[in-house]
Amino acid sequence: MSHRPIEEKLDRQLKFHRTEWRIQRIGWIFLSVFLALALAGLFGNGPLSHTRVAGPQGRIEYQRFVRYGSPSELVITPASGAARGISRVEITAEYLEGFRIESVTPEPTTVRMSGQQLVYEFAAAGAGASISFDVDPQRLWRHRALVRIDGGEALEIRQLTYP
Amino acid sequence: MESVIRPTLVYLFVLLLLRLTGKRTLAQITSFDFVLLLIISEATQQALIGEDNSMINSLIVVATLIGINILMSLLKQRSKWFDRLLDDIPLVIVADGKPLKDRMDKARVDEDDVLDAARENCGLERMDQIRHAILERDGQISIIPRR
Repeated sequence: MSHRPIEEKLDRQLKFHRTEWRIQRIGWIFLSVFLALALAGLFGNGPLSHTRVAGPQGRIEYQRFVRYGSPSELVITPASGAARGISRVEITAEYLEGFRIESVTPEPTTVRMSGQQLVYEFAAAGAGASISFDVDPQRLWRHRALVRIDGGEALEIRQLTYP
Repeated sequence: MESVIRPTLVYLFVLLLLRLTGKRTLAQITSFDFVLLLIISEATQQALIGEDNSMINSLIVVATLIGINILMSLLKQRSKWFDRLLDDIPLVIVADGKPLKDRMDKARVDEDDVLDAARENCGLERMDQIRHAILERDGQISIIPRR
């Protein structure tokens, strides 16, 4: 009985199992890295995703990473030294290619297109009152837009939409 | 961030509830258990997904649930205490052909359940043909017949 086919076969299967176990461990590492990144916010909603750009007139807070089919927000807050709230926000029209603006709070008094700009005018608000734009991502991948607060310098926002 | 935290909380909550109801709950899928399973999954769906219908969200949710499951299995393997906490330990309910009434009452199992298992698995028909019956951790009753 020099040949023991069953044992040989099982040994071969053991080799298969060893490979399988190794691949599983590697998979677990990838899984935990993926979850850690998700927790950190690389795929939206987290410290890595939450972003602000600031200019002399105020700052814009938004999510750098957004998801298709999941509403997001753009919050514009006047500079802390300002005596009164924001009266005008201009957004380059290219923003509309990537996002649908669902609602603006507080309600703007007028909204119009001026050249390539979308102009929102607001009634006088108290100091520190922020304006929030509820937006819905409409197209995947990268988008950028320029936002001007009260005719100040243009602030650039860059966002990435995941499927 | 939310997409990881939500399923983790739901997982732990459902785990706690199922553990509180005892092992027989979903051991054998009777028609009512099946309905219960459907209702639970339907009700937790909202808590898992929220308003986020994106594909990346569902991928993260699934990855989180699988991840916790792997983590739990590793913890159970490493710690006996944790294993008992999550999976319970077996309980002898019939010893030497004698049903242990108080244990069976506490575990909410009756003689009919034991005889049921005896018929199904060993083709036995009477209690005196059973040597031991054990309520296993998954809620099944295993029968050791008298020789």
